[in-house]
Amino acid sequence: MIKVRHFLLVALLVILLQAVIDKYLTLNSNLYLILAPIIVFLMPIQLRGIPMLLAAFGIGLLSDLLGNGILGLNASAMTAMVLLRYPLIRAFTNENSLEKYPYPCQLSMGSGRFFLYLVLLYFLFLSIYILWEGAGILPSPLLVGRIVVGTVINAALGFLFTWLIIREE
Amino acid sequence: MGKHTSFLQIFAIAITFLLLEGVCVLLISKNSILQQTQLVLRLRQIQQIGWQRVERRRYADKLESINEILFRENQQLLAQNQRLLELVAEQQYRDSAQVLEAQNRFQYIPAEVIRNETDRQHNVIFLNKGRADGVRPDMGVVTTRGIIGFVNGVSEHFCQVVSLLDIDRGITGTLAKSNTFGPIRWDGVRHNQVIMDEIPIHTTYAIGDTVVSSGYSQLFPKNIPIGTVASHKLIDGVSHRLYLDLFEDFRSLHFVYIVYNNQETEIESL
Repeated sequence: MIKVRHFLLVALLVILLQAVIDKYLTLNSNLYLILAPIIVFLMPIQLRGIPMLLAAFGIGLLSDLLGNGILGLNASAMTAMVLLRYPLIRAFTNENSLEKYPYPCQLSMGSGRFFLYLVLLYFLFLSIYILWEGAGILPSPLLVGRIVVGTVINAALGFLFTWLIIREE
Repeated sequence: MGKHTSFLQIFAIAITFLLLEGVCVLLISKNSILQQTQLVLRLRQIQQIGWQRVERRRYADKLESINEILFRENQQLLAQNQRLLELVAEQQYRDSAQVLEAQNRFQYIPAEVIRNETDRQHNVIFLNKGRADGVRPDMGVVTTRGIIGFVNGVSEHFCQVVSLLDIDRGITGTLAKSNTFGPIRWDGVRHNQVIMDEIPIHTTYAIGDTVVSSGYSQLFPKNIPIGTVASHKLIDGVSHRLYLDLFEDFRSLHFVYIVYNNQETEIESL
């Protein structure tokens, strides 16, 4: 289980990975590999409300500054996505698990529900991100395709990443 | 967000969320011309729908007076028609048929005003007809009581018209009695008065004389009434400036006609 003091290291790791992906891993212009939201997904459950919104906005803005996209896209998507985070955690986790594991993860939610948690949040994030970027410019089927493919691949990557760093002590 | 979140907290969260999203929208529009264009386009569409609704409500309120205007217009048209029929029937001038033929050069697209400005130096009017209805930039816009302006921008279902009430634009008019022409422009002072300049000092005219469109431009047909001479002033001892009271009340515009010149392309190719 990751400790609170380790959280900043995880965040730093994700940001570095994101920077590497942005620079060297552009597989296809229609496929977005975005790891930055994982920081928001894994934030302590106690963090919610206005501090959570500000944290999401800050992380989004940092991703925008480090990445090569349009400044404000990540920040907008991340800020909107975070509204759904706490209701999903409440829906997928019971009180006992929350006391034992203060982070949303496969250990507190179970693998299936954690993957669904990632899918739903990524779906919201990518919907806002991709619509901001291409609505009115690109054809609708392409936009929907980008959202669906991006959601599945990013959720799988997020799940794998979480599985690698979070283990039962 | 929380299980026991109070109304005040929800309100604070909503305000914070809207503020942060507002910052994001600003950042995105500042940093990408494509997104900025899309934003402006969407906002403009929403505005146009709003203007159309407001204008329809105003129109419903003004139905009675509009009916009266239409009735008077109809009377004028009937009288005009009668006069033309008499002219043709009696063959008072040979070229009256040619005059009618010339008038057929133009076709008219009826349109409704959805937004109208009269209180600025550069006034614009929005109409509910666009590209889908055959409207193109640089078409004239008239009513039976005067020249209104010309089409400046066109979207699929709407168009923007540069009003005659724009201090930088003008038209050419003719004194109906003497056939003397001169440029007409708005001085930005009164919404019901324009100025006609460069009238030679030897020209004879009287207060109340009618000024009509000259037909020299390809935008407007000839002889569209514009206004009557209200007063005049001598300029530098060489020409007269006429102040014209407009026939059309720009503040109660509702129905207009967009003018399409059938022969414009042919004339321009010369």
